[in-house]
Amino acid sequence: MKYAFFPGCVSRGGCPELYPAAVKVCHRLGFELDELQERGATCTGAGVLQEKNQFLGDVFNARTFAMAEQLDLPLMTICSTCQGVMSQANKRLKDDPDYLARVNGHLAPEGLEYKGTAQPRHLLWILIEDVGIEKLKTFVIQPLSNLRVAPFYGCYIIRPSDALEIKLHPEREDSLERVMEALGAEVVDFPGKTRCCGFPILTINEKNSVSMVAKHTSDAKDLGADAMVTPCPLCHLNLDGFQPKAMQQAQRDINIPIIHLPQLLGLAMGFDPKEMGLSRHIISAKRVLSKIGVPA
Amino acid sequence: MTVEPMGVMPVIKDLVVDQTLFWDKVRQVSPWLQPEGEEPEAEYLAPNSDMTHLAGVMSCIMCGACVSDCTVLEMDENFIGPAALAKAYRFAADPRDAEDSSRLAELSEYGGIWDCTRCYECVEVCPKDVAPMDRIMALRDRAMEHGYDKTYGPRHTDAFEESVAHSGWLDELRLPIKTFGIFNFPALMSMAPVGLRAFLRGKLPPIFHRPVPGVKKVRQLVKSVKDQQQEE
Repeated sequence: MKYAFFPGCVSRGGCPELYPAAVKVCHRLGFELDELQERGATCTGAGVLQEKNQFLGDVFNARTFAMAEQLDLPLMTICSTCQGVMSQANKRLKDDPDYLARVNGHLAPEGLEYKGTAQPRHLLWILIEDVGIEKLKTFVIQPLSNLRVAPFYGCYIIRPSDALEIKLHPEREDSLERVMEALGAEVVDFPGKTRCCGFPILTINEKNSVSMVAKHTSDAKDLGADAMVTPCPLCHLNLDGFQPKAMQQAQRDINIPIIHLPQLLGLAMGFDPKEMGLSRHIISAKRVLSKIGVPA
Repeated sequence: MTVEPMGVMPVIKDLVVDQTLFWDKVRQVSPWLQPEGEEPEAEYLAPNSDMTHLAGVMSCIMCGACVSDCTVLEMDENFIGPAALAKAYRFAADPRDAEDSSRLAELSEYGGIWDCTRCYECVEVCPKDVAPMDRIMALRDRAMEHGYDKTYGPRHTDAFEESVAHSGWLDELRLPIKTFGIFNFPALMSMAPVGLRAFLRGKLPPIFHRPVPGVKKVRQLVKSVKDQQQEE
């Protein structure tokens, strides 16, 4: 299986451990990756650019979609935020032919045209829709039994559900839990799994942002989770990077490791924890490794 | 299926909650038309074409579902919240209202439009497709256009756009510095421990931010879009 791969900014920026982990896991799954950012694809706008200039954001995303169309490859993301912003842009472009034509007018000088056939999909969905849960289980060398993990989706892979076509693909709703179970982990269900991590307001209202980190990490910890897993690197940045501040603010110990989805896959596939970049987290992941019997 | 009382607001009994907070927030945004000039003999008139875009937001039935599920109000009662901000948009965007600028100034303060996390909970639960979050984003755009662009929220948006338009992707190291301001030592120092921890773990974004390959094409694209937008 070959994919047009869109790694996003954060997997090579604030979470540099995510990009190599995702690439290694994809190769193990037998995926060939054609990286779109190497071909000059831009940031999706992350919902921030869209606050000021949604049209420019849609032009950027249409350009990425047109690149995937030219390669005739399905489009893969590894970030909930990229996924959501792309899905929303795609809906606007597909719903309105006049709008699409206006957007395409700007792509024409580069010899690009978006025909409206791209379907951006997160690795999480691809695991279920293309690989399949039963096939995924055959890649597990080191089952994650004994490990209690709380899922944390990230808003943009859950909402708005119409742009993400959740009704058309109901399996997307509990995809993270199903993948975790396939890897042998015990799922710790908790109400905060689809709430906001607080990252988008970090530089605007840090107190509220950190309160969200404190609430979700504490809830997961109190329900007995050894770790949280997320398909969103922005959630990771807040839940991991700002957990020390959250502990200070909430005046309690939390210290729950936040694992990227590809890292969890990698551990179950028997990759060395260092190869998965687990030593680069702010909250040490050693506890996870000792639970599954892997030397740190 | 679980039936629960609404969130955020205190439960009085069974499924009944005290909605004082909801109504206080709505009152806070002066939810009535404030026209200027001499009072007309009959109604204040506006052409249909100027009002149709407000039909969606006017279908709000004040049910409070968006407030119940708001991820920010759950943490902080100071936030004006989705229902009241959607109502504020309804008047700020009404061509007959003369107070749009002062409304936008107030809404740009702490607890206003920039405190929204853009989590889409309100859009998802609204039974009338009011899409409160989309209205909040439209208010942000209008506020920036009216020159209310000096607080961290708009500075973050401007810095983000500048980075992506210049290099094709986000320069995460410089984004907070540009948002806070390079001479804003207290804000930068408060982030320093986080940065230091990240640096020690090898988790910092690249110090030398390289543009995406063929960035000239991206810059031409941005120019082409902005030129057209200015013409319009």
